[in-house]
Amino acid sequence: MSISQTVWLASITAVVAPLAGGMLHALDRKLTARLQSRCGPSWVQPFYDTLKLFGKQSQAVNQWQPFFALLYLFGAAASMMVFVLGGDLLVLFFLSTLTVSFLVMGALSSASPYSRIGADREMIQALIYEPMLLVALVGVYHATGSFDISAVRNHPQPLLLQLPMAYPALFLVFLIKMHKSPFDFSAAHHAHQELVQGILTEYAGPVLAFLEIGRWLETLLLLLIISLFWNTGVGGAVFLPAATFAAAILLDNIAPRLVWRWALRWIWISGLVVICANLAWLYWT
Amino acid sequence: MNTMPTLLSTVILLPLAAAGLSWLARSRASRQVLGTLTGGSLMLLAVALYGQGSGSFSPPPIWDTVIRAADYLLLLIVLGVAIHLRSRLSQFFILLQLALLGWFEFGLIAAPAAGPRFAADALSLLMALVVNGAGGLILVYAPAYIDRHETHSAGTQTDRPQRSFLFFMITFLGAMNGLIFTDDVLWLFFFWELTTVCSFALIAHDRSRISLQNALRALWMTMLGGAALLAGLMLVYLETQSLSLLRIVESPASGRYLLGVAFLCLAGFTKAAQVPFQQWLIGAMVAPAPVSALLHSSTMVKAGAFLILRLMPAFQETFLAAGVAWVGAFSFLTMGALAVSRNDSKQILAYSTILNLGLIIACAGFGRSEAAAAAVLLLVFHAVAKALLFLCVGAVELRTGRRRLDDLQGLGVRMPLTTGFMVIGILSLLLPPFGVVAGKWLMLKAAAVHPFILFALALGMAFHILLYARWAGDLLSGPQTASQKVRDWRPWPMSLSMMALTLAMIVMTPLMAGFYFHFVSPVLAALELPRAVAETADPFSGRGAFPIALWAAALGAAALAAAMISRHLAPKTGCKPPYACGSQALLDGRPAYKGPFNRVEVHRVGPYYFARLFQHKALTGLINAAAILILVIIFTGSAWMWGGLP
Amino acid sequence: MIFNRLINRARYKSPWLLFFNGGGCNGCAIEIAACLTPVYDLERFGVINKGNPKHADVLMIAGTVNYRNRRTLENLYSTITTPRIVLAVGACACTGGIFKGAYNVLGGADRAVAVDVYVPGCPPKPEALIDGILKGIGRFRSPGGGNAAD
Repeated sequence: MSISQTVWLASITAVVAPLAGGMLHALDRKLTARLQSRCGPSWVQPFYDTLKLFGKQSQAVNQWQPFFALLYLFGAAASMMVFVLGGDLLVLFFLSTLTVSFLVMGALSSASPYSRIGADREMIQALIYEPMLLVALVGVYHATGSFDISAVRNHPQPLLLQLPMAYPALFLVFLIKMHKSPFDFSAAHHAHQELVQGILTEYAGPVLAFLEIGRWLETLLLLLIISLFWNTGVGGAVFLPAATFAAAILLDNIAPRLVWRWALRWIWISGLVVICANLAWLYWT
Repeated sequence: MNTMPTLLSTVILLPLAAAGLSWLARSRASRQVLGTLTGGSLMLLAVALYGQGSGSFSPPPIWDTVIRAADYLLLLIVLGVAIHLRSRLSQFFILLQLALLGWFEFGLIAAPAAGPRFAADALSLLMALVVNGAGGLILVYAPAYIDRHETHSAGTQTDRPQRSFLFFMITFLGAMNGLIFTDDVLWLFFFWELTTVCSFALIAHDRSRISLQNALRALWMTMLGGAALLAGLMLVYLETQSLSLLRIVESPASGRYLLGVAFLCLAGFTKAAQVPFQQWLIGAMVAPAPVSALLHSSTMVKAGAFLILRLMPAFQETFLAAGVAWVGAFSFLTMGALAVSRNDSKQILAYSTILNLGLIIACAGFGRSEAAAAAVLLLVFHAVAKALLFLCVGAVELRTGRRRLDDLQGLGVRMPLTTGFMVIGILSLLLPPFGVVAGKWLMLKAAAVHPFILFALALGMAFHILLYARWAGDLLSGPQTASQKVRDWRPWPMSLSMMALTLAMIVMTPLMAGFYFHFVSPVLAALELPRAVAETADPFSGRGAFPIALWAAALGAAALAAAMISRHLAPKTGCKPPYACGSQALLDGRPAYKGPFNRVEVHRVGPYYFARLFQHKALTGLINAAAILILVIIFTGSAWMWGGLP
Repeated sequence: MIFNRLINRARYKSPWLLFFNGGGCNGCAIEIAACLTPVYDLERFGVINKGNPKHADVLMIAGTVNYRNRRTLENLYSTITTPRIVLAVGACACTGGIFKGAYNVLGGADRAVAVDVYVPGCPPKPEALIDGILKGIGRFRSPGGGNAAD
């Protein structure tokens, strides 16, 4: 890619990615409403919410909260850029470490009991999904022979056929990272949390808006990674993430929240067993 | 003019001489001057040596005899101490070593070694930079620390403990320098034992029951390593008839050779405190902070990693390579699991040292060029980060008398500068694009072909996030109190060392591509490993897959922008207390709530330790058993090869 | 200017709710819950029940203000960042209702905080509640926007 192409692509991403991510969240709320036979909010509701937050008075416990919230947003944006510009899958993995660390550090720095417990649970979630994500990415390496995203994009056959069990693991990663029920124990977007809003409790106004935009980007990024699993044509590349997203929303609406201990014990073990079985199968065939 | 012999002998003898001087340093100021001068000159010497490039030299033959005599003398002295302290295990391993050494020197060696006694190559020169760089800064820090430590905590009247402390610290660096530069295996053994003895003396420094107990545990475990080293050297000598380490490594694997190398690796494992020998390093945290900094960053444990890196070409493509990788990966995984339930910050750092060394050793087992590069990067950057962290924890402990994670909560308000150093140290272990993560990135590329080891590594990394993100967030916790200005307490030598290490970490990160080219590539060339993939050429430059300079610039810009924006968003006058169901309040700048009878009570939530999920005691037993099983498999396999199988 | 109008529109479209029950018969609470459930679907106006004053824009108060809960109510009110709207829901929150004059009761919510909209009724019907909320957030569209009581 030439430099001008890179710059163009990066600037287009900078505009399109937040819009697309926001639309995904609008779709989420709309679909959820329809599943509950409601009308639901406006189609641009997430943008209204975020704009409103920017217009609110800022309120923070200390200067570290906005600092880490911004770094979280920048980390999410950087991951997006790495994906779009065809970087390295492992760099993407380390960036996901970075974003979750900043999220946790921001929540811990607030000294609020709710966000502290939320942060502990967020770290437990990281403990569950980080290994799965890493092993899934290595599975991609085994199937395609490269960690390079542009090389993975050009892989001739759908990765789903070679990594049929890495996909469910990634689906779990998606659920956990997006705080979807049954894994919404660190922060829920509904007011039925025993922790108020978990890690998000102490964020208010513009700072919360940064986190919101970061979440949009993360959602979009995960769906894009999932789209790599059927990247031989536009149909598959759209269908697979769309199906994943729909399934996640359905599950969010029908599943009760798990106890984190249970989740750590069973999801951790079963997810890893499944994905390792896939890896072993790839390795020995 | 070739100044190599002068420089080499100075870098080893100067610390030994300075150590002798430390007995005469009776005032606080003189000890500080001695420590600072020795540390500074060692750093300069290491740089000068690096500028000199590789080479070799032999001291006059009389030194052979001196070292030989010193070997026995050292062992006999330690034997005396072990008998005095009634440690059966230590006595056993010391006697075993004496017997083996006697057998080796008088029974096996036919002719004295012909090669040079000292050889400097890319690996040892880089190692010297690490040892003397981090070690030198620790020496600057140590006198200021130990004086306050003795007067505050121990309350001793004489300055004898301070002097002996300084003596062993400086000797330690000399021994370490000898260890990395020597090529003669008998000299290697002497320096190896010298580091063991120094670490024993330093761990036992406080003379309390617990410190003696832990020091003795360290002694017997590392003495076991010493015996393994001797056994390995004997077996290898029988096969290769060589006393030169470099020559030994290059020999083709055959018969007893592999078993010998397995013993040498075992020696490395004990020094590097890999499972099941982790207990000695965990126990070693009873020592004063500079000792921990020295043991964990530049000396002792790094000696084990260094030996295994040296041996890398010897066990390439053999059964043993997989075994080494497994030991490393297993340490990485299990130490993370053990550390999450601990609340002592020094103990967490100790576990984290073992797991990072596990990574280095696993890399040595993978044995490809990028794995070796990963090992070297981890070795260097981990040393800097760990030295920094231990020095910070020491400064905090000296000031507040506490080091439990719960007590470090909100330290940013009380000791802002030290906390800043500590957070940077923690982030440098955790986040891209800092050196440790760059090493991990390369390591994962190399490990991708070993799926099951990778699985262990993936789990271990998740534990690592949990350990450090929690800690860093806790440090900064608490409402902002902009009104009261806090003066961070810091004697200048201590803050100087911490600042220098922090700066080194920050400056080296954007220069990673250059560092890789000038420092790591020569090591790879010296190790002569197979280059597996084309993409290893220079991964960190502008065109590589992980352009670190770009990432560092991005992170720097992001942090700057975030700092500027967050200053606008931060509370200007006072702060809002954290939410507590509508009863929130502040009490002396601490989060509180208004309770019954309008009384304001402070509330606090400590870190969660997962004590039920990761039961430390039960897990330790299980892990040790599994690790011993792995070792048994390694040795059975290697011995089986002896039977003539390919 | 355009940006300000956009923000005001966003405020109107995204009122997040905090519900405070000062004590009473829970009748109002049940009606508010009914508003949030699918039958009346308050979310079509962008309303989300947040349960967290740091995120909320609209404070809904039901029940009387008494000597015990006054402190909490004031605390919650001051934690909600501006601009904000306060609704007094039901007879008790409007005036003190049948408890007015009791030894421990101060009176309506306006005895503690500045109230923007009063929704009378015992309890008010969900339709009335929705009307009250919309009336309240209508203030966000005016140039000053929201509660300027402080």
